[in-house]
Amino acid sequence: MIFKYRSIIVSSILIVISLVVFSFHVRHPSSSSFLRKLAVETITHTESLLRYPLDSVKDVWKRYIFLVNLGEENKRLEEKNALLARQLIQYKEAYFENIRLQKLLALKENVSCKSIAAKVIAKNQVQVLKTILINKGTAHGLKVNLPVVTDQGIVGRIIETSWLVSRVLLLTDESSNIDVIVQRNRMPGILQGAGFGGCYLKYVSKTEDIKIGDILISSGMGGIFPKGLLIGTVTGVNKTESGLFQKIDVKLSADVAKIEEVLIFIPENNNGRQ
Amino acid sequence: MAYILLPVVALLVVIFQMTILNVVVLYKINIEMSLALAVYAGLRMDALKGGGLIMLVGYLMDCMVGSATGFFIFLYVSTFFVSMLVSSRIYIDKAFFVGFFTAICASIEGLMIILFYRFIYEIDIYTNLWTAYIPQALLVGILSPLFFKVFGKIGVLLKWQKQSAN
Repeated sequence: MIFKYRSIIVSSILIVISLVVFSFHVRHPSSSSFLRKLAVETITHTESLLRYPLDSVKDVWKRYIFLVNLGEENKRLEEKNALLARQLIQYKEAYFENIRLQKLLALKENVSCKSIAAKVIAKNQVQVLKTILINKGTAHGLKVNLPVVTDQGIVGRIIETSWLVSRVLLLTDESSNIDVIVQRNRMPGILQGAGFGGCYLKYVSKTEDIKIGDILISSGMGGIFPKGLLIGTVTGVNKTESGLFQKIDVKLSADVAKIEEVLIFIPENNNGRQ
Repeated sequence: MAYILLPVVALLVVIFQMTILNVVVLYKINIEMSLALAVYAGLRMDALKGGGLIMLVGYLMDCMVGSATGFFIFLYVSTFFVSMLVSSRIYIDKAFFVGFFTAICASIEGLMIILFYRFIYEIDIYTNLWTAYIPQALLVGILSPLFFKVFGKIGVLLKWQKQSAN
């Protein structure tokens, strides 16, 4: 009799165990356990070894494509270089003016950061959580909630650390919310991830003036991202939908699908941070 | 011996899924080989070995995806349970039925993820059903007969097939 229902009994027990484990971890989200850290380290390092030959083939192909387009690219870059040189002079002028004004107003930046470079070793952008894994962990001084950026802007924040590996929650993940401001008119809003659709800006009233092409920067609120880091550009504004707020689509300045290296900001005076 | 090798098989399946399969599709879509294994375990494997293997695969997926521990364990064990109930009524052998059943299980998994997000994290990700979960379900359904053949060969080696009740 028991043998006849053995499968059902075993499966039912397993379901109950898994539900208890899941409920416990949802109610008490804590730092990674030793076993979880061990699993992440084992899989990511094996994965890195396996990916090495695949990445090498990809690099060779990329270089071939690069050579094919080299002539055209060179001409385009020369034109762009001339334009950027002119812009740089203007920005330098603005920068020096800014320093003078800061001195005048005694608004000196009080948060000094050091940064650590890390390599992306795995990407989970089609899974439940949109995350990447980087090859630096607690052994390098990383911890949860540190901001992760590239030369193009913010990409996310660390949500889990192991000894030599850390997990970064990308801005595109639906559970990611960060406080931003529109650079042009200093309008604040909350940037939420929209998965495959990039991001969108929440809680901006329909009466506010937001235009396509407006640049978003971090507001410095929330204690994770320093103020003034580039985030993205407004790509769509919809005021026709019902409700109090506009629907604003945002394209991130950093292409999260192509990230290979990142920088992690570590505040030198870490005591005041959350 | 089969029990000792279960963690190794679980680890290999997760690594293969997270590396080779993801690279092949350029990280654009997720080929959930681990879900196909949950269906296979429910249909063909002994309850204790299959259940143990699926719990391990679920745990490793939780670790790699970054979800709360137990999330994937619950999803996979539920799939395993449903497959086991179905296997006691129908013998699913033909490639078409294997693919169809796996695709249905994958779609239900996607739906459960959306419901979990809605009721636990209060985030709406229902648009992902059409952009991610249904295409993923179709893909894993198409590939599942191939995965079943591979799992079958490993199963013969490790002797983890279902025992007769008599």
